[in-house]
Amino acid sequence: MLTARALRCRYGAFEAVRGIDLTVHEGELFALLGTNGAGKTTTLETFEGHRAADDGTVEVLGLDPRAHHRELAARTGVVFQQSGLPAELTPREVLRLWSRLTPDARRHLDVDEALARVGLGHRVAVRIRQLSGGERRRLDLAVALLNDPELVFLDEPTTGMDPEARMRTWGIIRELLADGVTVVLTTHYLEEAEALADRLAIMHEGRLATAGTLAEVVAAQPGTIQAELPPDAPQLPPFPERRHDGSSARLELRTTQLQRDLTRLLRWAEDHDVELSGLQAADASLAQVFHELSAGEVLAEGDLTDPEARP
Amino acid sequence: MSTTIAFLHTELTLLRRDTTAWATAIALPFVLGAWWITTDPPFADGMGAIVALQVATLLIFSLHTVGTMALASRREQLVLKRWRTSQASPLSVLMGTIGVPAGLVVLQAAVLTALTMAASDTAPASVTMLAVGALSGVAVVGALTFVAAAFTRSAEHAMITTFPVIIVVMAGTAWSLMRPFDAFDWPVLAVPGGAMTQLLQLGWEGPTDGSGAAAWLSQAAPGLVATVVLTALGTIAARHWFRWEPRP
Ligand SMILES: Nc1ncnc2c1ncn2[C@@H]1O[C@H](COP(=O)(O)OP(=O)(O)OP(=O)(O)O)[C@@H](O)[C@H]1O
Ligand SMILES: [Mg+2]
Repeated sequence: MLTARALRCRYGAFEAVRGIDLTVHEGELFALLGTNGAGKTTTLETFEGHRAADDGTVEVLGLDPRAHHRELAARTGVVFQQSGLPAELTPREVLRLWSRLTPDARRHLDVDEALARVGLGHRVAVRIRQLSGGERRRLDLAVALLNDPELVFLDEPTTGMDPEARMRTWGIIRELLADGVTVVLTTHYLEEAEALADRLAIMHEGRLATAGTLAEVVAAQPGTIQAELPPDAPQLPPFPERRHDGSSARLELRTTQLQRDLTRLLRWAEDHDVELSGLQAADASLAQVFHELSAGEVLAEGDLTDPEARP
Repeated sequence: MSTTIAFLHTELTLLRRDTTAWATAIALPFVLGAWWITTDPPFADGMGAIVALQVATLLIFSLHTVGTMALASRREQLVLKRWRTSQASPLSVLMGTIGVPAGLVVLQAAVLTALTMAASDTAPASVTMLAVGALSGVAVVGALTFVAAAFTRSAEHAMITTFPVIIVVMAGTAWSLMRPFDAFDWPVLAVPGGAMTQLLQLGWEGPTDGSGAAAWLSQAAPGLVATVVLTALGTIAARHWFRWEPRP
């Protein structure tokens, strides 16, 4: 459906994308996460045919996005991070224009229906200048969906939306997926990726720090076991990744072997008749993974041999 | 082609809603053009010269200023970038944006010419050659408008960046008017506005020696060649410098 191989993009001497390999399968939602300036928008723009790759290759629907821009424009939809619609036009005028600008689309949605679908049914004839930030974002989505695309690129589509509008947008995205549309999404809302993504990648400084399903991405990071130890607790068995602040009786373990270490802990507690209160065991959250991977530069300067030094 | 028409339609809507551009594109040059008829500029000899002044005024305001502002603000607001994700070709995006101001020049020039004819009770030797002259100006100034727009960050910035072309076209027109229009004056022709002025005067007065097609052609040839060369140079420069988005 969509692939990048060793993709590199430079702005002058600055390399914004530094060798990315990724594949997006038909009908899935792929979320691209990462800190500001990680290179998400740049990557998307090479897929959209808007920017030439300086190195490596990209393929969209089996085609080179630069050479086959015209065909792909009819078959894909794009929400830019920054909208780019003339402020003095109305939503209805913009959509009417857009259907004339995508003559080879397999189908066009009805203009007013498309606006109603994104919740702009009551604002069809207002100047874009007068729309709120969230309303403009909805209009961007309506433009992207107007030509009934097979593949959509959504660059932070819900930024600036109120919770209700965001839920509605998630609903629309789920409908797209149900219709077999492939979605590539960037977002700074991790819960959005958790809710929608079949697979995701986290970008950091132009590279993919990790990629896979949510479960795979999360499994690669250590989970946490926490418990309160009674004051008279006997000596704990050795845990390689134990974090223990001497004063309190609080146990905190970070482990990539969550099940094994939890079993060991529980067995030890049973053997020594220890009552563990406040026991918690959890995989890493996406937020933890994101934080770990985006702190890469900080880590590199710190002491890598001491995991306790991590923030 | 149909995408170009869609853009033209949109640009016309945008122009209608922009009173500043409206005043610059329509009111100002039109009033000025009508005024040239009633005065008798010392350097303008004959009605062909008046028409040349009118067209030059239209080119400066209706085409160059309005066109530069439109291109710059569409780029600044990322509209050009947005349009390029559609199926429309880059050329049709640009032609759609500049087409409305260019069309206004032609339309207003036609009206002003008719007014000039009525006021002076004279008629041009060849309406076709007048049209060729006006289109020559549109081609050269149109190309230069893309060059100016390449260096213009915003609509406001256009106040400064349109200045060079305005001065040059004024100079080219005035200089050309000071010479006999049938002279082969390459330095005059090399200045934007010069060739257009010669062609318009030729269109009004007719060839000075002979009257057959050969006479028309031989007198129009230098202006036409200059037009083609200047337009080509402008286009090359525009292709080199023009950017589609504010971030390079
Ligand atoms: N036209 C440009 N010229 C120079 N540098 C650029 C340009 N566009 C982007 N960059 C730089 O490239 C890097 C990646 O930018 P990009 O917009 O792809 O990041 P992003 O991951 O989308 O960030 P955000 O989350 O803030 O949208 C940034 O450091 C940015 O400053
Ligand atoms: Mg971005």
